Amino acid sequence: MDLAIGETMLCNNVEAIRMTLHDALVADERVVILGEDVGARGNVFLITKGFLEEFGSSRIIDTPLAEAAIIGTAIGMAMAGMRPIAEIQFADFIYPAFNQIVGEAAKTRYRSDGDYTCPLVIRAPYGGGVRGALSHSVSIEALFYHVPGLKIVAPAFPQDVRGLLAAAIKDPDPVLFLEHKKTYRLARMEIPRAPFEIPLGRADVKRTGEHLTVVAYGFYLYQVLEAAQRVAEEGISVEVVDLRSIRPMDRTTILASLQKTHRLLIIHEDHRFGGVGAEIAAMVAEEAFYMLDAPIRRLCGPDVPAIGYASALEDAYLISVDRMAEAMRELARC
Amino acid sequence: MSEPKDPATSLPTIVTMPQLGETVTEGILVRWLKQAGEYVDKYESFAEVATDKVNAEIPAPVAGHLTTLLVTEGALVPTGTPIAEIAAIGTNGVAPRVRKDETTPTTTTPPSPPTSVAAETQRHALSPAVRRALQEYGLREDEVGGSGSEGRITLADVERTAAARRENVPTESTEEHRLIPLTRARRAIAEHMVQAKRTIPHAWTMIEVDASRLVMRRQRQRAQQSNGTVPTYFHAFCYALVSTLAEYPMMNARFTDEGIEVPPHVHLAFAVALPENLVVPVIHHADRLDENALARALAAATERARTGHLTAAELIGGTITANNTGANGSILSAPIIHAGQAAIVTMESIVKRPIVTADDAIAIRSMMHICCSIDHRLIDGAIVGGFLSSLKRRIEHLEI
Repeated sequence: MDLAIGETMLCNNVEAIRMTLHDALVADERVVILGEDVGARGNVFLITKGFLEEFGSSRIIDTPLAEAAIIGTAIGMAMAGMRPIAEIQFADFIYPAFNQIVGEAAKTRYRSDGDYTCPLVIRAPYGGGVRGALSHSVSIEALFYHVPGLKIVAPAFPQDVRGLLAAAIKDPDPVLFLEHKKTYRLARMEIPRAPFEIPLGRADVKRTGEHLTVVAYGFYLYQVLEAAQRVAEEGISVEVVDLRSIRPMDRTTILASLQKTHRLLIIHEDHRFGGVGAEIAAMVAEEAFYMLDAPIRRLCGPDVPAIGYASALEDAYLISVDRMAEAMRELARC
Repeated sequence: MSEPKDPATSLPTIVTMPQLGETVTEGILVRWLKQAGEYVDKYESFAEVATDKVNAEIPAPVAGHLTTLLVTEGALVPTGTPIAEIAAIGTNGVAPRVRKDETTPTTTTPPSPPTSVAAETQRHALSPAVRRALQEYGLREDEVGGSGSEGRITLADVERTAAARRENVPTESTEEHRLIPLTRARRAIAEHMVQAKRTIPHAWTMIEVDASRLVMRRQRQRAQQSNGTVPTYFHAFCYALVSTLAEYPMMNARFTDEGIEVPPHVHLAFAVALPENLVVPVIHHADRLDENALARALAAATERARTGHLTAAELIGGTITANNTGANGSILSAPIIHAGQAAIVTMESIVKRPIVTADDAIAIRSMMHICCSIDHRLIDGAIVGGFLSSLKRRIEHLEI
């Protein structure tokens, strides 16, 4: 594997994940990776290519096509003191493992009164825009962020990916690490080569502004920033908050931003009804009602069961930069 | 299913703020008695308005639906300003009742987009941030211009208005002073007083009156009256005043640029002190009333003033004003002439004093001062002196 040794390096998300997994495998022999095609194939996105040769089959484990077993086994490993990083090949396949995640992993610490913890990381590529159709495009965060005992992270940029994955691996509790597949090779950015951690539960202001706050996570961050730049030329100053961590959610950063801008636009790819935006909106309405100069707006994926295979259907589902810019304009001017 | 028929068959009738008194130029829209959209019958009261003294209800000039309320409750509105629109029902005067749809739709209609409801309330609603900012800055909604969509007031609008205000406010802190907002009555009184003092050159004089016979007469009347009320000193004073005006019509006149107006009647205005302000009812044609009738009229008007039942007509047209300042113990006053008149006469407190009699003896008498401010443009010393002397004589020679 080619890794440049130096202070920073240019990385995309795939490279950032790969580098961080490798660092963890080297630093801590309790760390194992298990999932479908993670070994011989090196992961369908080549994230773990060469790991099997380097670390051996007892640490890089090719599992059967059986998600409940993957997670169930990983939970057992975690409770026994290992640091498993389980992969669900596509988030769309996670449903068979739902019981293990929600019924077992999330409850381990609580039901054992801390006698057992479950330091498990579940990595899963999610999201649409790659013509992945019904079984390779879903967003699953809303299904899990409701569950106490789980942590959920969805970084968009290479630096956040690296820092948050490292923190997730160190975390003593189960973390669902969501990787938007469209961001895997989308952009290269300078990130530190040396290992570092970004604490879970912290959002990040990616762009400061005065007139309105956009809260977003995942792939749409890239579009949000582009739209914000576009409307900046029209005199509208947009503050962009990258949520990064869905649970725990950083309410402080969101509220601090609203204190400045008084207007909130939430943008996410997942369905609108009951999505992460709903919790943000409820929290803001409860805690920042008197700061609001306009109703809270959510710009979200439609409430239809799936992203279609036909490109026209997928394009209609996804939110364009134009639509985001228009939403920003409307909120700024209302 | 059919839509209900549009009841409006003609252009909307605009209702304006009526003139509630001769010199009244504005009124307050106290409250709406009907809401926008409600049906009103012809002549049905749909709003309550007030001037500085009088409340009145406005009747709808036509039957129809009150489509638009153009003025908010509490607003001060000049006479003649449109305050509401009524969409009149057709010529037969019968209002069609708006029919509710009786048939249910057979197909499920998609839920209406949330923006339509939100947009309707957004037009007039204040956001929480705006509401709080208005409170913090001590601004009223109508003091801030809205630059948001459809004229909505935004937080930036409030902050801009507050910043502009700050530049005009004096730097000294007013934290220790208590600020009592002006009622409409107080504002009216203030404006009136300023106008009177500004336009009329006041001169002042007084006279001393032996009111002993007046006191004795009243004592006799009270002894004779087993029940009911007896004319007061002030009532007697007013009768004497009105009687004396016949000899001195100039005291009852008024100065205009075109000439001195001498009315053919006496409309006696008199001051009644109320807890919050002063009202000045007028006894029209007081010169036609005998003493008892005048006393009854004064008592009745006083009662109406105290209970808030004076009509607008009772507050206009005075030709001279009498004021019972003595009721508060005053022995001297320098009253302000009511604009549009030439004189104001006060009856001060009746006080027992030692006096020197005609044959140089000391005696105790009930003495009373009468003070008088005059418009020196048409009344000079000789007139007011003669008037007061005559008034004094009348009181001092009352039949007991």
